Amino acid sequence: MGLFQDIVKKTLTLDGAMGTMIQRHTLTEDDFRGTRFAVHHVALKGNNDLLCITRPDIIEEIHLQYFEAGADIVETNTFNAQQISMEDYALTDCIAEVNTAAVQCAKNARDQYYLKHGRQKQKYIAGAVGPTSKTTSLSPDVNNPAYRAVTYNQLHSAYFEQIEALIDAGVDAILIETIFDTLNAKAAFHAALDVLEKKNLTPITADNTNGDIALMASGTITDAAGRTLSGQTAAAFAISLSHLPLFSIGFNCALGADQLLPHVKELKKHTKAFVSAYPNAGLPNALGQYDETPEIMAQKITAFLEENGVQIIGGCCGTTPDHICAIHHLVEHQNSAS
Amino acid sequence: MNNEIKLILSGLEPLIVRTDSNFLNVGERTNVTGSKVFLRCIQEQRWDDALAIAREQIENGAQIIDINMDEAMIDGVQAMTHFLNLIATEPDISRVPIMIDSSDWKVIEAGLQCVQGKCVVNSISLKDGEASFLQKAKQIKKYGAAVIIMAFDENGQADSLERRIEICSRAYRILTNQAGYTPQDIIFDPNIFPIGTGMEEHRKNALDFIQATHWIKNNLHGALVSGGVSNVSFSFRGNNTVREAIHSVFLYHAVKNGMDMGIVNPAQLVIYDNIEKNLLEHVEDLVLDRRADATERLLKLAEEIKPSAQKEVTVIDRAAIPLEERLADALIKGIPTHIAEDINEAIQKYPSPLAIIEGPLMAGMNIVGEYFGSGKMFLPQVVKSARVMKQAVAILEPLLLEQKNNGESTAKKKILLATVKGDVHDIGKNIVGVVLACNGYDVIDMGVMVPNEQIIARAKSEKVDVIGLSGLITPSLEIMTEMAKLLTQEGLNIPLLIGGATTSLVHTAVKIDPHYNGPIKYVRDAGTAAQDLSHLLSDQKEHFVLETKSEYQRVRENYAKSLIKNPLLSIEESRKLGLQVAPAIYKPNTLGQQTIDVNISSILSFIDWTPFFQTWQLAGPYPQILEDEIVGVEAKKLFADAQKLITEIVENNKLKIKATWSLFPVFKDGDDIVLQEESNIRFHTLRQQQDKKGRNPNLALSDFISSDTADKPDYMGCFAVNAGIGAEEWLLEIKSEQNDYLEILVKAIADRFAEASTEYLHQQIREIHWGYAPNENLSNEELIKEKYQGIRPAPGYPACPDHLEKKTIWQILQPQKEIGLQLTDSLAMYPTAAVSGYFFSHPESQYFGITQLGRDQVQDYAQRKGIAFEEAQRWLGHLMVS
Repeated sequence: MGLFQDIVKKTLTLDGAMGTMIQRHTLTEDDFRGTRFAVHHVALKGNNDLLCITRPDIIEEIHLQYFEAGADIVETNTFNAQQISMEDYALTDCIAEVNTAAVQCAKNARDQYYLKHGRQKQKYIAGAVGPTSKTTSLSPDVNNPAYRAVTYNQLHSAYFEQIEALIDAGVDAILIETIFDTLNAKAAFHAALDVLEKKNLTPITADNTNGDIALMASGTITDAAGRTLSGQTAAAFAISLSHLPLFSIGFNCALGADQLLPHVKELKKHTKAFVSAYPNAGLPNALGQYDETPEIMAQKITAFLEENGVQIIGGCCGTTPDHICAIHHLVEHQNSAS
Repeated sequence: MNNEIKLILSGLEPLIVRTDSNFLNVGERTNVTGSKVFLRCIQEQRWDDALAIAREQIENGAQIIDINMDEAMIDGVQAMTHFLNLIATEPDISRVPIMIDSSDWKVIEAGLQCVQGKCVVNSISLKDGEASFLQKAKQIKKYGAAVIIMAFDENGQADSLERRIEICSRAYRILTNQAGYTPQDIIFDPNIFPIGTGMEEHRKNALDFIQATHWIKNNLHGALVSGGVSNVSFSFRGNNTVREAIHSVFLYHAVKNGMDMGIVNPAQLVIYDNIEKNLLEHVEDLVLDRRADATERLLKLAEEIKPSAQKEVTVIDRAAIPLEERLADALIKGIPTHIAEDINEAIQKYPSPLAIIEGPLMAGMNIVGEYFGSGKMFLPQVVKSARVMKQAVAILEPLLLEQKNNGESTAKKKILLATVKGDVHDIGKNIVGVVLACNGYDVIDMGVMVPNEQIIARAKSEKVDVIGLSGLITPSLEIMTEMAKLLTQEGLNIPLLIGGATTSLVHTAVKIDPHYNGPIKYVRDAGTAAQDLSHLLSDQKEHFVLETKSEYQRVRENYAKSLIKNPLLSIEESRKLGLQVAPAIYKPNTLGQQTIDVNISSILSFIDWTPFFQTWQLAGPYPQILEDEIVGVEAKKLFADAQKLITEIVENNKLKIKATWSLFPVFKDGDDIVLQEESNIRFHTLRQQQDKKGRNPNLALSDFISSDTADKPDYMGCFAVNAGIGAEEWLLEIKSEQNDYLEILVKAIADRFAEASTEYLHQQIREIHWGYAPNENLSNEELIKEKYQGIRPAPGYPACPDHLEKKTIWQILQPQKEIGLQLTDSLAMYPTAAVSGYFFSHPESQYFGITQLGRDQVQDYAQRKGIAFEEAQRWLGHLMVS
């Protein structure tokens, strides 16, 4: 069976937070460095993507936990694995290496899962591509609103490098996520299309089920006005990406399930792609922790599935395998009902 | 069928055009080839004026704005990029979709790289052949834009109905078959050429366009038709009445035949039905080519018609609006147009430039902050408001400087911003930087992932006035707490701002504030940052700081109460999660009990004066409080009286101080601490029971004892200090004189003596009697900040909240005999100027709070103490969670 064909019959479950799970291991600078970066001149603690190389055991284990919890799709640990973000760590020459290692971690976890449970349930790997630390629609310089810290072309080449590495390493999908500036995302997808063209691959969409790679988009609503950071409404966001052969589009992060729902509903009106959502485990509490329990979160997720037809559902910050397990139970329930 | 979507575009907001929608106005004024005014703006780099033209068009009804920079003397790529980047920061403009208009592909592509919404490219054509056309079309699709196709091919521009049909259908085929376009993204411009030129071959120009439109709409399914309307009336330049009539008539018929949109000046369209009948007839003859002499007839009529007077501009009487409202309005809407004149007016009205900033300008920014917080404004709008603020402040700055030269203090305050170590998120911090710079602060931005040590070093070298820390991820919260500790260690008290997505008022109050004596302010968003800073750096600083500190105290208390809702761990579980200390046993130099007279002169330097002023409701840290603008005079007077009184006490032996203590071997047994030599005496400690999710241990004082066996004991001590000897008689004397002031003063001083004596005693213990820290050498300030090893918790205070435990101290030390210190029935000490407590030496020993107790622990505690549960409950009930 081709990739992602099961979505026609069922809702797919996406994994939960990577960062939250990594934080459970109290890792030291040495863990991040490993032998590979033992002598690197910049502090590396906090660069989670590097753990794919230096502590692959941890990353694999997290992926496996999500597969076991019922996730159909896991995201590679590559949120910041492109030039622009890695520049902060002086690691711009390791992009392909990090992405390749990350995909390998996910593949190893998937192999372990298949070994234990067989291949009845197809499991997918989505290459996670974050928004970078710079924005093309806002100026960081007060005296010069026309200034931009990064250009479209710089973003395009950074994304091209990452996406090519992810695809070469064998991901099933590219998930461009936590989009707070749609122009950044447009550059990312532009690069993705160019990679596909270079490799003579085709995107998987609802209309083209025989494609090779699924392109997935997920934006982030950051403020109380219901806008992205760069000021777009949910509808404008969807329309601005409507030229793309997207497999799915949705929202993630920043909000809990109940706050996210109205924006997802609005988004669905403006797209033909499958709709995805992976909210945080509620809003952070006063001490910055997410404390929505799996049961409460799953309860809120119900509304996404039945009435509102979200077909890819998972969790972002603060969610754990327990959350995904609870969400997956819901999804299974729905899948068996339909 | 009449509600199908025919075109979808977006700026910050969507533009969804349905088949029953009205004609779509595309603003034409931001075009250097069509508008001399706009051209001059661009040539002279007057970008604000150029933006005003764009804004005005939208206000006049343009739903899309066409932008064209095609002029020989202009660098099109640079100008397009610059202008579109500016527009992106103007939400009232960028809310609508952009039409990137150029005949130069490089300019088009530069434009496409600056626009986040779904825009329109105007235009490409088959002029250079199919290959080039297809390649550009595919590129445009990757950028996600709709495209206008000019009816132009290798053989030139289409000038007849047939050629228009031929070129448009060819382009349509290529776009839909080879470039993957959906028809909704294809817009044809079948060339609007002038009519009334007097040339025979131009007679059908309008009609051909209208008929081509009809054909396209019926044959090229889903595609749209657009055109540059003003071209049609080109021959009637100078007579706006006639031109506007021609435009209206032309559009009336073209739209009836399916024209979807057009580039027009929306402010210059007359309503078809309002055109004077005679003129209408003449114009229709020309547009629809109904008579051979239509041109001559209209020219003749045109001479009779005076050009329409300049459109009446609605003049708002700005002077009628109060100045403050005008300023607030400019800030909220982010409009800089009148800010200079309004500020100049404010200079006349207000006593000082600072009063303008802190008055009407801050009031306006406060509204902006509120709107942002409640979702009525979004970020790009806030940034725009901040820019107007900056312009206002820029006007005031020279005046501020002048005042500074005149001796009034207005130096630009330095703000250091950084995203903390391990965190690369800086967008919020950058915005705060922008807003603060706009408010006239000198902002030093250290960027992301900055280690605390570097921040402190820079703060010192630049002598900054405020440090702002930002972080988005959860681990950053811990780093901020470390920063507070580090600043305290460094003895700094630079105001600290805490901001970022995961930070919160509660976190700042509960986790950061207790570690820092300096001012700390949680900053909700960029809008409130400027406001908070202006308070923090104003003359009223001390009050603001105090208010904030006490607000945080309230937050902490409420937080502690809110925790009660969270179930506590069982005492067994809590014990398992206690602190496991590494053994660190120091054998005291002198074991056993000692009692001394404390010489008052030796403790004077140990006095912490800050609480003394608090007794008098005077807020602020000593010694700064003496210079405080508001309470300084009062504080000085009080301090002088206190000094006088101390001199009297010393000279006339009015008060005596005695202390007694004992150091002895102990070991722990569960949560009890057992005296090795008198194993029937035990200290019963209480343990924290909150669920800390493994982040911190659940502490009890017994955790600080390394030994759990009598064979190899650890050591601890207990002590009692009485600084009220002689106070009774003296106070009675004073009372009889009805001198309330003196009475409170004596009590307050005696209290200070008790604390200072304890501090002194503790130092003597550490350095000499116990001797585990012989070379400590700390200043009084460092002592106050408890920078030494070891603690001296007192029963009845947070770490050991049970007053009953004082009885054990009395059992060991007999303070009533040794130093005349009694324990009342309610377990208070008498005289009241007294302290009693324990000494612990372990390097990991620390102060902590027992805020909640489970019923199980209180039961367990009662059992350990051998008292009834009800008795234990009497003393600990206020902490019990049922």
